[in-house]
Amino acid sequence: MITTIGISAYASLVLLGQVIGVVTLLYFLWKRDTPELRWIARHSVLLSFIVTLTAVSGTLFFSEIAHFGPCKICWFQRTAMYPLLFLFGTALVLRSSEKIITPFALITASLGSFASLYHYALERVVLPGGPCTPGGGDFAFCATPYFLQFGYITIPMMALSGFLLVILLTGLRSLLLKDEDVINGNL
Amino acid sequence: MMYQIYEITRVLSIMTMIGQVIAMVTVIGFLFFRRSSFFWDRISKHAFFLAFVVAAVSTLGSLFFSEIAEYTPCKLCWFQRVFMYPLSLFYLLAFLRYKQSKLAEWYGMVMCSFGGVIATYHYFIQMTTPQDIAALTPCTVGGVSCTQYEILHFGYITIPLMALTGFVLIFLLMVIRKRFPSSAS
Repeated sequence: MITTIGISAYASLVLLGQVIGVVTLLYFLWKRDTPELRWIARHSVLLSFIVTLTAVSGTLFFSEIAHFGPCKICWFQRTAMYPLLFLFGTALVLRSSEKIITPFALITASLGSFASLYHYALERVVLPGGPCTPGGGDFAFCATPYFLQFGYITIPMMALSGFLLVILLTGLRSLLLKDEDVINGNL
Repeated sequence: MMYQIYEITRVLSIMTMIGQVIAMVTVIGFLFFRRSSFFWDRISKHAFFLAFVVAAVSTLGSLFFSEIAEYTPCKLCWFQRVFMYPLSLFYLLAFLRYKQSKLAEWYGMVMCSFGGVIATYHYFIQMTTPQDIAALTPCTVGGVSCTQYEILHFGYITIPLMALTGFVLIFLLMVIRKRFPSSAS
């Protein structure tokens, strides 16, 4: 019961995130630099924190409450997502907006999104039980999705959306904010 | 192949022991010699580079255990990896481009605290569960037992203890850097 509710809730959040992300990206490509986009850029650390917190809570919900065992690729995506949460969390607590956030978040989220893309392709294109090395023991097969919501959302699709949102937010921040804004910790 | 794997794990264990001796000397030195000195300033100046080396060795070591020696990581092992792997990339960036970063000091301490607590817990349950029972008590997820150890060197070094040593070393490096801020870098 709670599993079904959780899946619908997180899938809806992912859908919402995807819509917001696409609208923001198109708006940015159309207008380039507006007060609204600057507002997003200034608050990108907080917004990224919210995105990664949702993602991490989602992974913990699926593994600890819904008891979906994570496969090896899932764990590599977690390895990319969790540190981002701690990075943005630490930056928020310190009220710091240092420039090191940009390359670290971009590289980590890119690596994570490659893993998610590969995983999603395995699930959707390759037949279930396809060529994925399970972690051994009772680890889940990577190519078998636990659920399919709205016809396309699976767990790696959720992770991919999170990573791309982080890339979008970090990208906006480094493109729109001048160095002084960033160094002065104007979150 | 078995022989090479054994040799490499022994080398990693020796490196762990060296790391533990360095950590202990550092803590004792920190308690008795609190003034800024040439020694502390040197460590502080190269803290990000040294942290990168520790994190990179830990990352490569853990990948060696899972991908070459083919020991399947348990759930607790994975959580320790989550806190160790990103530090290699993070300190590589900090050491190459962002030597003045305050965030890097705090981030390392936060990540190492979480990772260190998990590693301590993991080592504790490994050492307190008898090994004949350990094989029968799997972790809740994954089916790989967290309480069983694949390697045991010098009578006390197992994989989570290696991780713990890495976390403690990076934590100490960041403490030294905060206590003795390097002026020139």
